[in-house]
Amino acid sequence: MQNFDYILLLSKRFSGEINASEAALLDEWISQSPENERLAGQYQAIWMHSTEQFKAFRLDMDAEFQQLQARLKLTGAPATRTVPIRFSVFRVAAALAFLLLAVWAIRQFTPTAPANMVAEASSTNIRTVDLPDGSRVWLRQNAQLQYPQKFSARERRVQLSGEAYFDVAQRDGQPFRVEMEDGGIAEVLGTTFSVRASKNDPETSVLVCSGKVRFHPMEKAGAPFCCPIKKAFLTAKPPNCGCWKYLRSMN
Amino acid sequence: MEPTTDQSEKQWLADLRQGDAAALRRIFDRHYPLLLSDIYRYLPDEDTCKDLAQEVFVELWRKRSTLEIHSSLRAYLRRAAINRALNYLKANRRTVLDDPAGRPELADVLAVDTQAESEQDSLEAALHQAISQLPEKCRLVFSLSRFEHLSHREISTRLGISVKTIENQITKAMRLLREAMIKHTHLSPVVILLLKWWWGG
Repeated sequence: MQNFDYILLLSKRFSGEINASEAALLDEWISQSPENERLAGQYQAIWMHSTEQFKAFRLDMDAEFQQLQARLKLTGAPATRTVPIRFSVFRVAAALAFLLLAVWAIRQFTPTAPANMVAEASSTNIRTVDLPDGSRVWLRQNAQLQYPQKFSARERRVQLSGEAYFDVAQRDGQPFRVEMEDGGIAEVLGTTFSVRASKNDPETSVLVCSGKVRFHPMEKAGAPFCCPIKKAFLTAKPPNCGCWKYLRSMN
Repeated sequence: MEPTTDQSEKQWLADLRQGDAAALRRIFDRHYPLLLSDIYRYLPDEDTCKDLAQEVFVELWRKRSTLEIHSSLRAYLRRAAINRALNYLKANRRTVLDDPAGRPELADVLAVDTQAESEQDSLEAALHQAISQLPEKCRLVFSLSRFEHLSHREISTRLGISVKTIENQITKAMRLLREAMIKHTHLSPVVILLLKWWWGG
């Protein structure tokens, strides 16, 4: 008990920062002697009766406020009264203008077919893309992903060129399909997987880290499932290729 | 003394949101002196205090239309002021925190002010004086924990000082305060009575 700092533990208790093991240690120390108990009481009184210090300044409030106004002007936020819109005519006009703008905006931004978004990773960095369904994609260098602004209700379909790691949000009845450049399709039945498809690389590969991916070189049903850490098509890459996501995102 | 936003302050805030400079003036008149005092506790330099407190009002005005105050206006402004003080301290910690000779200690400034108060012989007044006479860094850290309710870790992060140093300073403050109180009991019979009652001596 020689090096044990009861004053620190008491301070921690008063400021509500003590943890369970420290509290036990402190309670044990307090119960050891009436002297310890008295010391603890003294420190508690000190803590409880400490009051803040207020210093009264001699101030010319007009001058101080003028200084503030000068500052507000400097920062481009002058403290002048803005005239509120009082006339209902203006309000009606403003409301109409807003309505027209809203109608225009809705027409502009919701085409009948949802617009496609394109995300592209640079040649030096991995890029993270958050899809509208909550899925996340890590695009490897030079990879490109096309996805709709809003997925259709029946499926979630994206187009990939290059290599990417997918962490797919699970949704029953709305499969996640990755269309590759060569026409191959990976259909996700699980959560995380890596897809590689590139024009320069004749081999397309899918690496499944967890869950299942149904993979078919051309779009047709009934292809086999891939299970965790298995590749549908073997390439020269070692089977831990999903790891670059973690390595690069730490840089 | 936990201040609350009373009806008039609610009205001022509503006017402020509309861009009413008169409302800014009313809020300024009530809160500016308090903010100066808040900051002075940590940065005992009048010009710096004024500079930082004014910035709080610049910010209040700039953010007026999106202002969301969940606590009281006083608590909101005080927090903003303390945040500025802490940022200032962190940015200037070489000159303010690490150089005890670089700045007159608040204790020197306040010693005269508090002498009159200590004659009131209350435990609070005695402690008040004892706190004002703590070494600069010690008083700063103790006050942040006691009055701003910042955790040791928060103080450490905000000031860029290790948690170990923070804990050492708080321990030192508590020990010095107790020593001061024991000395004080030799001087004032009323405090002895109070201490006997409070401390069960």
